[in-house]
Amino acid sequence: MRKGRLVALSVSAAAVAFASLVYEFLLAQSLAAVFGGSVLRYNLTVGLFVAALGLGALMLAHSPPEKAAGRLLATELLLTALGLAGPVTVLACDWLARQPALASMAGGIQILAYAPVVAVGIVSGLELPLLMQLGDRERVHGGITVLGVDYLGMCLGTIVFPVVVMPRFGLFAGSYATALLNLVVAALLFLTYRRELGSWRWPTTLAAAALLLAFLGIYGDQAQSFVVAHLYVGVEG
Amino acid sequence: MRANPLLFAFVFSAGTFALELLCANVIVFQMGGMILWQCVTLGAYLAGMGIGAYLARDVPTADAAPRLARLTLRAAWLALAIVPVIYVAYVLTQRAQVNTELDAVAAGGAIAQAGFARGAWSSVFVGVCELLALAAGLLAGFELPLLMATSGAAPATVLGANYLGGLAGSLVYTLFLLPRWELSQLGAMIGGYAAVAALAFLKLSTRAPIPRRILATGVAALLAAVGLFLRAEDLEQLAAKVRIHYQAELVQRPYGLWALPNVMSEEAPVRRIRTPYQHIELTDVRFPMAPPVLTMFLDGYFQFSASMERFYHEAMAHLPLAFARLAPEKVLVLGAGDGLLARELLRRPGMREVRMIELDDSIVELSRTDPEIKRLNAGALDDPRVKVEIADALALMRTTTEKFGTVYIDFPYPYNYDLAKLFSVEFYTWVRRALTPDGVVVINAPLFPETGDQPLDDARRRSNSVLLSTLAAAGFRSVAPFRVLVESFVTASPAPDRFLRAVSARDLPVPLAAITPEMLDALSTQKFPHAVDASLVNSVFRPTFGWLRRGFQ
Repeated sequence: MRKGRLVALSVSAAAVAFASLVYEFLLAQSLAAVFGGSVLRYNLTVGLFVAALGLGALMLAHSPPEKAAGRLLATELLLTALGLAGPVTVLACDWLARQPALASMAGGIQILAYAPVVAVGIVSGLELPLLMQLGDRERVHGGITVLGVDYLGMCLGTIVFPVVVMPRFGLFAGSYATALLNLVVAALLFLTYRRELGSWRWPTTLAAAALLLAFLGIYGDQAQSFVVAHLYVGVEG
Repeated sequence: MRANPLLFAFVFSAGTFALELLCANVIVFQMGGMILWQCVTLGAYLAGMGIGAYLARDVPTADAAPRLARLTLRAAWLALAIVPVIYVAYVLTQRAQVNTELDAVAAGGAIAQAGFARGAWSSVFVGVCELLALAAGLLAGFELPLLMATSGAAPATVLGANYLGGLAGSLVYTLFLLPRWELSQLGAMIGGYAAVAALAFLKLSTRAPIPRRILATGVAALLAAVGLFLRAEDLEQLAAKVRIHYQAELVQRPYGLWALPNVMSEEAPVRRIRTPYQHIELTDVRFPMAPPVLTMFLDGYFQFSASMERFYHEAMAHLPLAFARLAPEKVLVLGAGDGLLARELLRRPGMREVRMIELDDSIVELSRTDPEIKRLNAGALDDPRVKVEIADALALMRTTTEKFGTVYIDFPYPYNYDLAKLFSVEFYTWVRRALTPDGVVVINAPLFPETGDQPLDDARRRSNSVLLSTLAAAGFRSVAPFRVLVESFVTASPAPDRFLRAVSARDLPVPLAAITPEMLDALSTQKFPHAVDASLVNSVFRPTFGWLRRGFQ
């Protein structure tokens, strides 16, 4: 049982680190898509990501270990939502910045487009201390094991993003697939810690999120065409 | 005064983070601007950090301050070494690649074998580069536990200062340093910065004098940084010459590696202009069996050469209008800031206005003032009929409410994502909307006809399919791809059946110097094998051009 939990935690740690990095790259790519200058966007995104990761980790410096499972589950659900919304938010900021009525605020709105980068970074930063707390509960040095696997997941993300995610899926399907992975991790965590997470709220929220993703899976193409046509290309008229 | 450990956690991590970005940017520069390398380099750095943090678990914390200083000095040397080492690795792997190819050809081997050798040696090159990024990550991973040991502050606070330093490093590097300085100068700056930080930290955190060896290493690093900074122009000049001439030179006459600077000093100097948008390189290139000719490269990719440009610009300017039986008085030109296409368009009788949209004013300025380019473009940019606007063509086509009858699009090939956006379904949709219902757009693009009995290889077929699928998805109902020698173009229109493929010299309003009647005859039978497939459409949001593939040969 104990060993099973540590394996589940390690798999989760690798998967969430992978997902966080892919979300950040997807955001860098979205910023490059709407504002241009890939090298600039990637450099800035990576810098902001690392700082936000740190900020997130600091925010949880004094979190009690017995609350870790519930907080981690909440973090994963939040990250699923943020990751899914990220590219669309960047497109929306670009759309707002191009509105004549908001011309005077265009610069500020462009800076606002980096908000998802910081948000995903902070929430990802919350993950690691929680995972390590849970790891330490299972075994001595369990936390360090989780940390190592976390780095591994991130490294995997840096290769899978350019080689698979962008060419096979693209920005929107890519963020959808990554959000799906995140939700699966959330479900795995819920199953692993279901005794601690007695409340009926968790299964309900998970089911709602799954329903939303299933809906997006069915109507994804239409949703994407709608978003691209209205926020980026403009509607033929 | 005591060293503030939090301040130094901040200072050190700003340096190491800039080091990672420099590593990524040098690799991206050498490999042709692909995002792939930006991502993979971050991965190597993170892996290094993970391994470093893991190994540093058991590092004794006694003497943490001198250890930290030594570690930071190693980072300084790494920063100084990165650019020169990557340039040397480039030369060595190029050399090995050419030799392997020559051996394969001499042994009667197939082209495929030579291609494999090329791939293998460029993997070696990338491997060396990524090892440097891994080393930078290792140093960063080791730094953190030592910082925590030297400070009395809570580990979380040290971590916070460290992360904020990373952010500061990335902002200063990306926004202020990268646009202004050469890559080797950036290496010198980061190296010098790390050396000064290491010595200052040690001086302030221990009462004792700095150990002589550390002081010597630090001062040496500082001197090396100054030296590298001052000699950066020479290094970059040599690297540019190597990029442009090395392969051709090697094939002609093998010579020892140490002779490289001497051999390269025989080549004409490369005029290098760094603009916010691209690296312009201009030099005389000796193609085999020919006198040296003026050649321009943009971001390392061939743009035009004085001896070949006439084929290109005559074909692009006149043949599509013959296909469409058009004689426009006004045309819109996107890109082509060198003025060579404008020269051809101005030759057409009845041409009243050539409106040019160019992003980079440096290239317009160069083409207006450089005597050699001006001779080539016949002063077209100063002709009163030519109106040059400095603007982003993508933004203009996105927002314009005007309608155009004839549009020429002359951008570099989609070697990387930023260029591939200009070949996307989104951009082509805006272009199509800005055309009159029977308007015509002429695009310079990678397209490959079938030659003889040999079937087209997969990469070329894919390139055809990507471009033609993208144009179809953007709403172009007729397309006429064509190729003249090594240059290929596509003419497209929203109207159906807009083009005739048979062109004779009689259909042309001016005599052409470079295009022969035989070349015109060949046009009507050219076939470009392709499949129109929605999954190949090149989109801003799902690029199928300029992502993992580099070449279009």
